[in-house]
Amino acid sequence: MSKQAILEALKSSAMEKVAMPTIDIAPVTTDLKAYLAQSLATVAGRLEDGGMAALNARVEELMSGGNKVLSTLADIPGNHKGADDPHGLADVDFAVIKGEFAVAENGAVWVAETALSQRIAPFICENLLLVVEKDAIVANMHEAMTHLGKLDASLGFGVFIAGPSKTADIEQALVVGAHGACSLSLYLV
Amino acid sequence: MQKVIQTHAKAADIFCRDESRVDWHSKALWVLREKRDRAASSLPEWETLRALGSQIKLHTLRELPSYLEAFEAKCLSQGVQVHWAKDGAEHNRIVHEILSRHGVKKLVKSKSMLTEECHLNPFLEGKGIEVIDTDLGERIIQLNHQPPSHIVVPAIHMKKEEVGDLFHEKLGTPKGESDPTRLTRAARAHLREQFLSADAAMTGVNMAVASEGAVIVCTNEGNADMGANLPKLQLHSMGIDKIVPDLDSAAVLLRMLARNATGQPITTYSSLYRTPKPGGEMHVIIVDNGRSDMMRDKLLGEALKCIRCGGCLNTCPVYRRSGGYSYGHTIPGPIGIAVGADEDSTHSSPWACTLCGSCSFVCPTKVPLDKIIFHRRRLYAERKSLPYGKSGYMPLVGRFMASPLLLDTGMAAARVALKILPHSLLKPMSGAWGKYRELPAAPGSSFEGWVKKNRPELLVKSKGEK
Repeated sequence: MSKQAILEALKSSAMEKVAMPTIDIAPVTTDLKAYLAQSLATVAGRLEDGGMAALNARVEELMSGGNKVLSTLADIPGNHKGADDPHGLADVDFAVIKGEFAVAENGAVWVAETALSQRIAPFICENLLLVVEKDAIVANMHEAMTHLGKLDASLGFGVFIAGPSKTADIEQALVVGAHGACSLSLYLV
Repeated sequence: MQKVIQTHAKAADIFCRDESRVDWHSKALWVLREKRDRAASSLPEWETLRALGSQIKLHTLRELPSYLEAFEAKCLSQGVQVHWAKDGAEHNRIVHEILSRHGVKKLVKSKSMLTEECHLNPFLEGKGIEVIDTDLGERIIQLNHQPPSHIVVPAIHMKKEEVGDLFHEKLGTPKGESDPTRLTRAARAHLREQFLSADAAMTGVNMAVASEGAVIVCTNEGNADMGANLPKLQLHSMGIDKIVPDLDSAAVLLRMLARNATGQPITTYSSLYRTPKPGGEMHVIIVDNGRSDMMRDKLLGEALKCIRCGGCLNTCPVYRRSGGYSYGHTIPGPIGIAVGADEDSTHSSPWACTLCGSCSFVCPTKVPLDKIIFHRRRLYAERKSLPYGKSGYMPLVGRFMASPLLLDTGMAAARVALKILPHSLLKPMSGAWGKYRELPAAPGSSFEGWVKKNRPELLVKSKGEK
């Protein structure tokens, strides 16, 4: 009922008709990897060199140091068995998660639900290790959305993650590690 | 809940008593403005994005009925339940009905100015539901029993020592602790318990994508996602103005939102929710609450282009020096006057503005804020509801300024008075204007007189044109 009332009320709108503009912004053609590294640094993330070998070594080191590592990548075995209930991931120290692509202009990585067993995984872990194929870098958000448009239509949830969680709510002092991950490393493989 | 009983100037007076705090507040916000400038200038296409953002929003606002219906249809086809609320009371009823159906005792909420506007928290608390605000700034002011004083940094008015005292009392942090990192860690631990024990989560909506039936939620802390992805039940409240046609339009706004708010290239998390989680329920509540009324006025309707980045607050010389609470409205600052002046029973908020235009200049979607605020003044005058005082003298000022004879004689008298009368006699007559200013030195002649003497050719020319 309120739906009809709202739609009815909108009929007396005085706003003028404006055509939907064409969004045509040329992407930068600079070295995308360098651009990504620079953007990632401004959002307090780290770009790791060394590819899959470096990631494997890091995960081994973390697990031998007693950390609980949850991995959603088939070829990286973690030591956290996951959980049927999202609350069961509350003790994850490090999560290794596949991102679909990274955005050079802002350091954001698109993580889709299809790469996760639980939507909460990239948020509830203490630290996040994201993995993106080295060619999967787009210049800007316009290109990113073009990619999203091609994604699986059944996708129910996805997120752009740009660095670790952070806040500046107390006197504008930047604190890394609010409710989500306290650190973020991006591995290009 | 805030009740408006004081004019902006009176309420600002209270804030201005502590001059060092005013300077501190102003500086903190100006830092954000400077970061915004650096972020904006780092993109060569910034002005193009602003123009696009404005056009996209104008286009969508005109076509709202069709986009809202397309959005709803897509949501329904993806298993999301959609509700419509014409005002805040209906919104609150719907939310409570959903929560009570699921026996919800504790709700975690991420930032939503809309739920503030609807006064949802006190409503739900009155029904016995615990509501936990999870954005750190919002949690601070919730514990301090205050509404937000800024739309992006809601606790900007508080010093770290005050947050330390509050956390000592409420969260048991050590006495005297005022280090932002340690205080944030304490809040992280406290709020994690809340996330893990909540029965439902609620978020605001930054953009609702009509073509996808998806809502986009942006946070830096990850609190919206920590909330929404743990319990089975998730709710998202959105104003009808949050619709964008498609992902391409969302990209334009996402590129500007964080850059214009805090100077970041994008918020840490920009999440897209399209279906309920497996075994869960997702509800979207679409709220009008006065927005369709605003669109009956072409200029006021443009205020709905706003994407709530807070950039206009950070740059506003009046906001920075009078504090968010002086506006007596949920949303303070220039955008608050633009969208909320009708609820200001003192009719004073449109005068909390110097019409400097800085807000319009920084706005990412080109909301003509200064024009809207001026328009608000005119609407008050037309309705004969000018704030106390102004209705008395403003018509006289109008008559005075409209008559060359009165104006010339008056100004000549003022020049003489400034020269010969004692300061102590004249100063009180300058009213609020003179409170923080010295009286000017009297010029030798009127401007017209100066032109006659020094640039007579200008006078001849303008007369010739007549």
